[in-house]
Amino acid sequence: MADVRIGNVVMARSPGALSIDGYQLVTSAFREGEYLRIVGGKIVTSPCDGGGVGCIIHVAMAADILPASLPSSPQSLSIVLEETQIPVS
Amino acid sequence: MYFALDVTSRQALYDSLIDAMGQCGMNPQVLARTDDYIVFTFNRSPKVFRLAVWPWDRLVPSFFFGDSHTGGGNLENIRYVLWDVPTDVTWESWYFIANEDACAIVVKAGAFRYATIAWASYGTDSKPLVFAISNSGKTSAYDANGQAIALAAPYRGLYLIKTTDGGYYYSAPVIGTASTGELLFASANGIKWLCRDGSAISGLEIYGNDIVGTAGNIYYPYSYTLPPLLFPNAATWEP
Repeated sequence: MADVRIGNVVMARSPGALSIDGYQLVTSAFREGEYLRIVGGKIVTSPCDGGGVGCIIHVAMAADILPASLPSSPQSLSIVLEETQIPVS
Repeated sequence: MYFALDVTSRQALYDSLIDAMGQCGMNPQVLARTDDYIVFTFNRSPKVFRLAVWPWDRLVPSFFFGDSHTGGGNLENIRYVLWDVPTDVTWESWYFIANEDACAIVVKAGAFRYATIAWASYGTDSKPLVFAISNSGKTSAYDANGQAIALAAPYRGLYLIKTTDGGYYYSAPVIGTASTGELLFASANGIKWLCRDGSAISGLEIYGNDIVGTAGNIYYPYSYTLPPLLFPNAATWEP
């Protein structure tokens, strides 16, 4: 199980990759002029140890769903990934 | 539980949907039905729903809900859940699936077009949630108060998250946000996202105890792509 827990709020206004605790959060789908709000960013454990695509967590959804003006109240989010029964094809 | 619905006629389709809901202990009540639509309630939501199938020769679905049925298939405070589905393809495969907390109508047109109309809930008091996602028609999601919301995934299908041995995909919670971007819920009951490429539109797939529903687009407040839906234990759950 990968336990992705959120601590600090990170905001950016341009596309690119953020590196938090050595793990890359890819923001390739970030749209110009929109805020990306990553609520948190401390990866306690990771589902893999060898790098590569298995360690990348895509957070572009945050840019997709958030309006250009951020809500004033802070948000927190705890994301727990769980292994399924569905085999990798 | 899951059911392949009878598509030999519209009335057979409506009958088999209501029968499937009944077998799932959902106490469906039909308020109105014609060849073109059926209006019903069931115990997974306090709302009134209308499923329309037109044109019949292509089994094209559309789906709405409201607060009450005012007669003639009309709904008070109608909201559009699934609409503008392409009519140039035949939606020939219909399924109903359910687990303890969620259920869905999955519709397929050939190998490339899918739509999932789903009910789930969020919060400890099981607030009802209704939504649809599709790689074809327009879709939306609504919270327990009937307000349009956005569903979000912490993962968007462009990269594979897998175990070190590459054995199994991960699942992620379904997140709901208001149109203002504020977090409504950090997980929904009975549904998850399958951390698999969004382009691998699934439709309906069964793996052990679990069922995978469609991936696709949602249109509010922006159009964006969601990964495939996972219904844990839906293949084996019984009421």
